[in-house]
Amino acid sequence: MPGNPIGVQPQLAGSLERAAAGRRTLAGYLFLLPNFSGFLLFLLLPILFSLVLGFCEWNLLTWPPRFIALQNYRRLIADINFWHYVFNTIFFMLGIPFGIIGSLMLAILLNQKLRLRNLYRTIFFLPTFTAGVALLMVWRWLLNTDYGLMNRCLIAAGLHGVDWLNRPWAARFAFLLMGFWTGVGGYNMILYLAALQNINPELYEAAAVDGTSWWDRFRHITWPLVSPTTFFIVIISIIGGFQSGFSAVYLLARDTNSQEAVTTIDYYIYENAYHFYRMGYASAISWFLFLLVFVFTLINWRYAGSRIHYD
Amino acid sequence: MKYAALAVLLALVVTAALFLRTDRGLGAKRISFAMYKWIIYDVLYAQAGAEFQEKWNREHPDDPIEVRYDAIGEDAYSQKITAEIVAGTAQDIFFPGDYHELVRDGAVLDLEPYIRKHHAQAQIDKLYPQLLKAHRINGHLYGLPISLNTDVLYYNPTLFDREKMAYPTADWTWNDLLAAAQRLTKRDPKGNLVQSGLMPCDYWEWVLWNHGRFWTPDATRCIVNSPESLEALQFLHDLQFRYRVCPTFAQQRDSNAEVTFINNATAMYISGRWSTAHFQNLSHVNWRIAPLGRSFQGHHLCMMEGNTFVISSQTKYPDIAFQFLLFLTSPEQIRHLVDTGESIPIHYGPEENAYFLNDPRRPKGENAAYFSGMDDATVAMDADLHNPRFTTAELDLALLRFQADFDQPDADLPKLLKALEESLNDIYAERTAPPVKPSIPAFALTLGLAACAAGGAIAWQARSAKRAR
Repeated sequence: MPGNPIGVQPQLAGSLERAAAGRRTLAGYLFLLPNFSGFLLFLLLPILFSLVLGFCEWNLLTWPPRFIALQNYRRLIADINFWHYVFNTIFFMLGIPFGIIGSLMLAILLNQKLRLRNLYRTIFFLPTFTAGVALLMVWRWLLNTDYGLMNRCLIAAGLHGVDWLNRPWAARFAFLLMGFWTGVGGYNMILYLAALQNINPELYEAAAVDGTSWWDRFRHITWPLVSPTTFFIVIISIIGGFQSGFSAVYLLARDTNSQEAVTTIDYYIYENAYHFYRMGYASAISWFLFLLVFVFTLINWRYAGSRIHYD
Repeated sequence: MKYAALAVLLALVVTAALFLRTDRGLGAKRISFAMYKWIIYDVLYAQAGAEFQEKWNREHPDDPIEVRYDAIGEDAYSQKITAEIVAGTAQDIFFPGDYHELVRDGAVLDLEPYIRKHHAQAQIDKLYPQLLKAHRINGHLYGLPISLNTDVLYYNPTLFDREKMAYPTADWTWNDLLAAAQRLTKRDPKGNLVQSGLMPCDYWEWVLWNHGRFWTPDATRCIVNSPESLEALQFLHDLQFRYRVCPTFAQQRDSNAEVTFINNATAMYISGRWSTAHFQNLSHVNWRIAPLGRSFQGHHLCMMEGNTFVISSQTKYPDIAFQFLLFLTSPEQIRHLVDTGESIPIHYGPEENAYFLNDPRRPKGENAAYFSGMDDATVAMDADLHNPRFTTAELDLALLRFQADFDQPDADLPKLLKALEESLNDIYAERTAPPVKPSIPAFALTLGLAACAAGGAIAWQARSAKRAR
């Protein structure tokens, strides 16, 4: 047969090719299997299980969980403590805008032609790859009533020291400050730095020729052109903000007078699941948290997404 | 095909690794037991485990055992024990964080059949009846006490001598305590505290000391909002904020009470036997103990609290585990714990306690202070403070909430006490609420509404995104 050197009919050749492709695809899927099994076992199934648990009562020790329909969600709505912790979580998120502004300013500063610029960038990024627990231990020392650096500074300035971790509002502000500090350096700054380096310098040169001020250049060039990054950071920070606070409460405020004042939704989930063994209620709170994050993200997309400049 | 075979092999290895158990015994029967990590326990229990293993293997050469002790960090102790029970890998013997809950859920063995089978009643009967009563649920014993503590007043005789003051006695009243604390509190010219008169115990102990009660005898209702409780809390609040003879709870957290006592910065310190474990090894520390005096209601505080061991219902070797439990609670083993200063004897009777009462390291008769008021004692596991329907963490959080508000100079104590009672009653009501009958139609309707809402939100988002494009 012309054009068919090994003498196989075209239909047969096609089906052999398809079979070989099928085997290759199967092999590909089988290679994916370990990872997919992990995803299924440790992520998807627990997520679905927690959805079911939200409608059950379960203390881990008895099986099966008892179906109680919407009781957990009804309880959540009436739970004053829960709403108090929602307030705390949102209060700590007040630091997000300041953190974003701070990180943009820092990125602009580190984008200038400074001596030892890379060293500064490393220093500001240092907290990101330092263990969170170690950082919190440093904060614990900074906030200590008797020998903490914060109070030493206040006393040196002629003011009274503050019992940071034992007074509810003092603890709230201390946590807000920690959140701000974390938000300024780290990934946000790096993202802004990358965004700033992508702006065409000719735009600034043209604006300078027109005699514009620094503020005008910032307002009309920098801010609009880093807006996709800002949008990304806002979304990620809000999602992170709703899920944050566990380690800070666990390490700094557990069993103190201020525990209630700084407990976040995240810590309350842990407390219900592993201290009170109310797995059902903890799951219900987790799904409520998911809903909260979902709604906030949708609102962000709806109202902020249209103000983004991609060019 | 080669790739497919390799992939299948890889998948099998990963799956096998997930389910592989590495703790299977090799020959000898493995008995495991766990306690929270505490340096003295670590040494003593590891040693007790080795002793029992050696004794058993000597007596049963054809049926050897291997005893393994697991010291678990205190912070995550309860979670780890629960996780092990859920995973079906529970320790054979362990200290239960929430005794009543584990009994209710069938996670621990009823010891009664084993007590009969091994003729252990005589040894059990030597334990303090108050402790046994607290461990019995519906007449059945599910755990055995392994240590016991009562609070006493530690004091620094040097500081008392300096002020030419008489040492505390069992006849002291709260007014005597206040007067002594006032004389022993010292401040520098700027008003900073340099020597604290008294380091108090937890506020709820003051409530019990003044004959206030947390629960009705049947533990079905919180009754902490009583004149006795209020009187006790007002006295403690006055000590902290009006007379300023002892630190607030916030201040106590920032300083180690035992260290301040060791450094002569605290004259009197209310604490349990465990403090002895630290003090008796420091030759330079001058310390004595006295019974806690009488409250305004004329009551002595004697709160018996201690640790317990239970046997898991998952154990494969309940008989060996029970014999090991008896070994751990035998007078000989308890004596090791008493000698280190971690416990007072858990067996009653002058003969059983003679070695403790005549401890040559202490002034003659001093250790009798630990037994003062024991006939009318509150047992920590009893209904006076803990409620069998609560988890310990739940009760601790409610108590902590109260403490945070109590620790303010202008605290409205009657209001706070009322709120504490209400919150504890609310938790109790919720814990004991009858099972609700789920309404399937209402449930389906809610789920349908939720699905519609989610669908609507997604559609809204999609439309917005389209419009933005």
